Amino acid sequence: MMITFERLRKEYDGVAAVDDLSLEIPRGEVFGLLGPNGAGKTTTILMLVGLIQPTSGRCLVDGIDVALEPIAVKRRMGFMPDDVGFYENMTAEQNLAYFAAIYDLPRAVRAERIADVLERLDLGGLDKKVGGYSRGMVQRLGIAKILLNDPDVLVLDEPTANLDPLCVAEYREIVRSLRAEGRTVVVSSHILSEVAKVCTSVAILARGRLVASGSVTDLPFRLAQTAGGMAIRVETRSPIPELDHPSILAAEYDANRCRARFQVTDDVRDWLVDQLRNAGVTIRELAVEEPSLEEVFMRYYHAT
Amino acid sequence: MRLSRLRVVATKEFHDHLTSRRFLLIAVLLLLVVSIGLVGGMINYRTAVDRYAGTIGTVGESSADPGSATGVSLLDVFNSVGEQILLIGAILGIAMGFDLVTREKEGGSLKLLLSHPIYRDEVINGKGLGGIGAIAGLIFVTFAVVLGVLLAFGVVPDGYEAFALVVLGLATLLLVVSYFSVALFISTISRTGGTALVAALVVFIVLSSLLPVFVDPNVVGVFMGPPPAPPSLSPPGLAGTQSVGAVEPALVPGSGNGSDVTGIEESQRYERELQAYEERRLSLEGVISLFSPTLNFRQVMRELNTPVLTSVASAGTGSGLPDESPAEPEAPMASVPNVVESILPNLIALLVIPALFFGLAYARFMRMDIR
Repeated sequence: MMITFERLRKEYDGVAAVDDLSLEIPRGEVFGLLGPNGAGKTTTILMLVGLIQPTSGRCLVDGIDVALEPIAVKRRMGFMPDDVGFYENMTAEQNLAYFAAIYDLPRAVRAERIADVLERLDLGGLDKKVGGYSRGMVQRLGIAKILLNDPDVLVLDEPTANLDPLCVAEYREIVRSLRAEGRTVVVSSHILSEVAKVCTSVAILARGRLVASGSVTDLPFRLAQTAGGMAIRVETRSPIPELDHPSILAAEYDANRCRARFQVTDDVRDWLVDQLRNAGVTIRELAVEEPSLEEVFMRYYHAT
Repeated sequence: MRLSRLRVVATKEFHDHLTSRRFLLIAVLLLLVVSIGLVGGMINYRTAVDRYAGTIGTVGESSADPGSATGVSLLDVFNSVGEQILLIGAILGIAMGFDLVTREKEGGSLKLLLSHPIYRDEVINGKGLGGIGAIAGLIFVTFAVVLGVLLAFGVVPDGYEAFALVVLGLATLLLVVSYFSVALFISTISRTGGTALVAALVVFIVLSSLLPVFVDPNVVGVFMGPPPAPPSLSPPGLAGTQSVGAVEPALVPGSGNGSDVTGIEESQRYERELQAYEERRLSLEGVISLFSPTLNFRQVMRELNTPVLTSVASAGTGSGLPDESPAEPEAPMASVPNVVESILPNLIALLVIPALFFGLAYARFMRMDIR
């Protein structure tokens, strides 16, 4: 596991902002921390990057305890906070040069890295001071900054907040390319569609507690199971024969039996396809009517 | 703590100060005020020296050191700008430090910085060193300007004046660093820059205006209780109890009389009690003064000037001109060891105050949750 939270707890004035959080994030995942404001996402992330101390429990990054060896962890990590702020009296290059100087890299390597990331984020050749940047440019600079040390783990707190659609699209591309490079990315967000689009796994936090976690595709299905089933919709060229399976709770057919809706307790799509092929029925469409991530979120959130 | 990372932060902070409008504005103001004050002081100094030269011409004598005999010392010239340095220096220190941490917290750069492989002590120490470096640079330039003005007027400071100039420079540096440290500490405990500024100004007013009130003899007297009451006057024979200093038992007539003897003893006891009371009062004043950078700086300036003023008082008539008997002044000349001894507590206080507040800022910053 690349990141592990072990019974993590953080209290402020006796009130738990994060309560007994245990979670594991595999290497190479784009992991979404989902929850409304005040759910404990940012507190969890700040403990992960060593900016606040847990009241109890611990965070491990590739087996290294963040509280015990913060410098070792920070060398392998890139962090972009929600309110990412740079020194406004300096240019993008000067800002990056300042942060890069903190890493023990030779001057020539630093200069090369800075030029690379500025080029990659389309910020090269800008002499303007950061104070004159748009929010989107600052966000891009934030991503450029976290790539300076070529990190294994990237932590992005509310990365698309206040971004226009163009910048959001750019951000998604960047996250996809980071994933393709094999990096582990943790993204916190309260924007469900955003998490659904870029993340491979997700954890839902509510009032400081973990209420659900799993892959973005599994989680709705699991909810469907716990909520009493999901629906599979089938459209064929010829009439659908009678089908019987223990997981099928009910079946609804249209008048010519070329359309059907099966209420199931399990994922029986493969079985359905086999049955229809064996019966010589050509399938035009087969789709799962699963709850959206938003439905999942609302269901879990209100259940807590 | 890694020196390389400390240097990175300190260099950036130093550069930030030197290029900030706030610092440059106050620096220009300081240099302007000091220059104008100095030029004015030097014109007065030259006038006094010329007047003295005229007087010498009349009596047909000359002096190798006209400055010291005219009653106008170069230190008086420094004194004329001391209060301005005090005020602007304190404002400079506060302006440099009050938002050093809050600004980064509010702007989000502190979170970004501390997510890098850098220890917090490297950050806070770097901020401190960068600020002190900028202050030291400005003080050096200011005193270089002072020296330049003096030389432009054809005045070369003598040994003691050069010493005083260096000590004054050191005291100024420590004064500004004291207020800088106070402001830095406030910056670590405040949520916003606005709150920090208000808190720093309140502390500045307390240290520079309120604390001196407590050093006033009347106010100190309130805390210490009333001074000892003088003994009641005995009828005949016991004169002089109205004034303690005038009580001289040997001069009291009728010393064989028993009631006179009792009266003398009472007067002596009263004198001892009053002296002890005064010593306690002075020592309380001294202790209170040590808590204020402003009072310590003033005390250093006063002590640096005192030997010369004493010399003038005995050599002249108070007008700055020699009296009819131009004999060698009997008052002690400025003595470096004596002055050092007298200003040492204040200089130490000016070292301890910033060290204390920087220590508090350090402790607070190390334990701060960056949210």
